[in-house]
Amino acid sequence: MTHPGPLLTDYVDDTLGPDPRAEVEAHLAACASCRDEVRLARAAKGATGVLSVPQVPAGLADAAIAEARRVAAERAPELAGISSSARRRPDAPRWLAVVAAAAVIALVALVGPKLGQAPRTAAEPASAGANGATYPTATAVEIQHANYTIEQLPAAAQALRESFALAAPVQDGAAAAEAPVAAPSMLSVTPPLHATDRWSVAQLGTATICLSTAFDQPEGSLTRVIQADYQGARAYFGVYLISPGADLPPDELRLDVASVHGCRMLAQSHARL
Amino acid sequence: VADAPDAELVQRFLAGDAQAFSELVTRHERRVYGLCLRILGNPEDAADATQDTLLSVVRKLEGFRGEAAFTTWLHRVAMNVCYDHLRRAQRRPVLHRVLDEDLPAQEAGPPVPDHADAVADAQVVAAALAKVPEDFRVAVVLADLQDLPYEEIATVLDLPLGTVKSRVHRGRLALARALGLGDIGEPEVSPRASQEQRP
Repeated sequence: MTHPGPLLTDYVDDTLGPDPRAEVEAHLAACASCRDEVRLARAAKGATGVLSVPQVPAGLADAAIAEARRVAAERAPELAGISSSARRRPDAPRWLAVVAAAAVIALVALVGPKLGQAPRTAAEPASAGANGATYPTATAVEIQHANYTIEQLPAAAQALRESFALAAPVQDGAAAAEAPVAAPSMLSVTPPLHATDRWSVAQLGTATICLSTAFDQPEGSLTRVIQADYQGARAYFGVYLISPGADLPPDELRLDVASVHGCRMLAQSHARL
Repeated sequence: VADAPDAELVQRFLAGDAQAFSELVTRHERRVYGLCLRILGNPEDAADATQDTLLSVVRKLEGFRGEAAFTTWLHRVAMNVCYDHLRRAQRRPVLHRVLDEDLPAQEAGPPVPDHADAVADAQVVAAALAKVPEDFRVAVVLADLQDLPYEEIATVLDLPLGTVKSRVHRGRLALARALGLGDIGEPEVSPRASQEQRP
């Protein structure tokens, strides 16, 4: 017996003309298995009707809209109303600076003893200053299954600062007083400093724009982008090198932490190199 | 801008009007998110995929020739992003946490019986759909949830029309089975399209 094939789908959808419909029904009269299929397919099709689309989380289009503005501005600067003079660095809340001051040190551990020696798969020398210093540029997002929490970061900062001979992050008294007091041992710090799980070249564009949106056109050279969780929410950690002048080597490292969802600014900090 | 057809908004955007893109987002974001949610099965990945899709649209819009409807093209872009996420998920042996947001929002106060039943049904159907093998789930989602005509699905998935209809049918049967409605007519569904049998 030849079964109706794709016609059965159209029969379930009730989109057949009279002739093919009669043909299918003649077959169904003689074929119990096709009758069952029709019954089940109709039931399943009906069941999907209870699924509605839930509310879309806010901010999913932010990065795309920012990119659309940029693209549009390139095509027709007079239409977009965006000028490069609008670039500015946002003033992050003070507590964020404290939290992230620790985070930057934690990240340094991931970055390695010397930022310029980041793994080749993640960064490659992109430009050389007059003095021959090279500036690595991120070429992929490093994905880590790690969650960096506020509590773990201060201890990590202490331990790693010595290891990597970085200056202490700037903290003033008022801000330090708001800092979390937890002081876990290195053992409890070690697990989150995971090795990179995989690299994603495809995500680099999204991540770069996300960081750029969250921090409003940040300055510096983006040397690494790490995706991990920050306080339980997926985040991009952008590691920037900033040089004091065009031909001078970088003397400052800045870490920008932005939420993957919504590209919101979560934390930012600076460390002297 | 609000009444302009999609194709016109695309042209306006390509001429430098960023607002036209925002309007396209307003119109289609929910649909993209719904697609990603049902294909990927969890809100976290769906949010990521939606974000990636919209960004991808900005970059690829120049290549949109208007040969297909904008919605067809948009589904194609979104599906490619979803496939990337699915491939990634296969390489990632991580169990998804069950988040509160995985569940449909419940209204505060005593539940209205009908509404509560509907929420329960939706959870059951969503869970059953997630069990349908990928290629067949994609077909069912595009046909029965996104309401795309089969010809458009064929364009989105780059498949012959007959294969699309076959997959939709088999996907529906697999869904019925996952819902516990019956075992008869069980297709030998396999995650790989190349092994599929046509009825």
